[in-house]
Amino acid sequence: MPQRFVWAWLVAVAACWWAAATILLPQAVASQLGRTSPAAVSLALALSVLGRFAGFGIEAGFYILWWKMQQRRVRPACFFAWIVTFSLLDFLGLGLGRLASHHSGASPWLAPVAGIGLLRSRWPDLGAGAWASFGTAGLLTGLRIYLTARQQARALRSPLVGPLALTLCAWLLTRVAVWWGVDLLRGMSPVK
Amino acid sequence: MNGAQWIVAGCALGGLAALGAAWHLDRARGWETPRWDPGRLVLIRDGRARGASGGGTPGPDPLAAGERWVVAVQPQCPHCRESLSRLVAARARHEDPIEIEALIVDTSRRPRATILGDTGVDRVWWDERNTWRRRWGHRVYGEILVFDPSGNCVRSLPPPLDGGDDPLGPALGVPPDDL
Repeated sequence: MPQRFVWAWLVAVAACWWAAATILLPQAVASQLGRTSPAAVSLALALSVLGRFAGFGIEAGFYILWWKMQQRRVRPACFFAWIVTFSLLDFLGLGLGRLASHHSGASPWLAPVAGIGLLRSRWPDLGAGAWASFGTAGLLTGLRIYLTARQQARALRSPLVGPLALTLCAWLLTRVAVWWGVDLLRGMSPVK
Repeated sequence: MNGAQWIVAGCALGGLAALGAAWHLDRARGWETPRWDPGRLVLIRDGRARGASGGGTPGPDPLAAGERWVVAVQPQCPHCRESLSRLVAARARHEDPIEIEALIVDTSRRPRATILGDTGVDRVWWDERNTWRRRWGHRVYGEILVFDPSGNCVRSLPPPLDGGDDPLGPALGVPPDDL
């Protein structure tokens, strides 16, 4: 894809995440920010999108540096653009989650795709940390892991096994860290 | 993997193991089940008595029937005030006979008697000994703890911030033992 189209594509994905941030920002917080300053809500949304893209940068940077330690090169800009593109699967998962929240009967059907977190009400005994970390586990997340690994394998011209093992391990370790981190932050308090 | 990759992987696993140890210690600690004991708290203001109580010793507890809904409030936290206001508004809608009280937490200085004066809360208490965090192990500001007239915690609710669920909805809440 020509470079100028890559920029346009990144802007389009950023617009998707901006739209997601407007939905995810709690009404109470938005109204409070709005009272502070009219520009505060836009600033908060922009920071949210920037933070998300910084996360994509860290994710891409981790894989690039990992392979660089073996003197193998993955083109940074190209790989970052792919990671941003794969994030649309998360965006789709969020959309399906919203759909399930409005049609509770659809949750069992959508959960294998969008994530087992849609079935949270069936297992109320599981802690909030476990749901926050593994709630997105589903077909879309699996596809994102596979595509991330495949893109590394293509860039390295190597078999899929190594990149897939690395991507799976990275996902698993970060999910477990989120689980324990959320539990430590909330203590015995309930959270949604 | 080469040497550098082993070091990176080792650091990541070491950090995760440290986090896991902290998590295990925190979960295994014997936290007290929350219990409403006015003797361990300082009454800052009694809105129902129509007069600010400046004394540190609470008088007789006037709660005769119904539940006591306590919101954990940190004075610097704007979301706590929002949580409190939503709960007061929900009570007005339902015309429920519950008591709504604010528990000022994580504050070493005694709050002023005028604190939360415009929220419609029935009483304001100060958790001087930080029981909420140190003994009960709770950490989320704006959460709601529901106590029965005997002082037993019957359930707890997350902060009602997202504008979705009604905090007084009967299906909500987590029994304290399941937290």
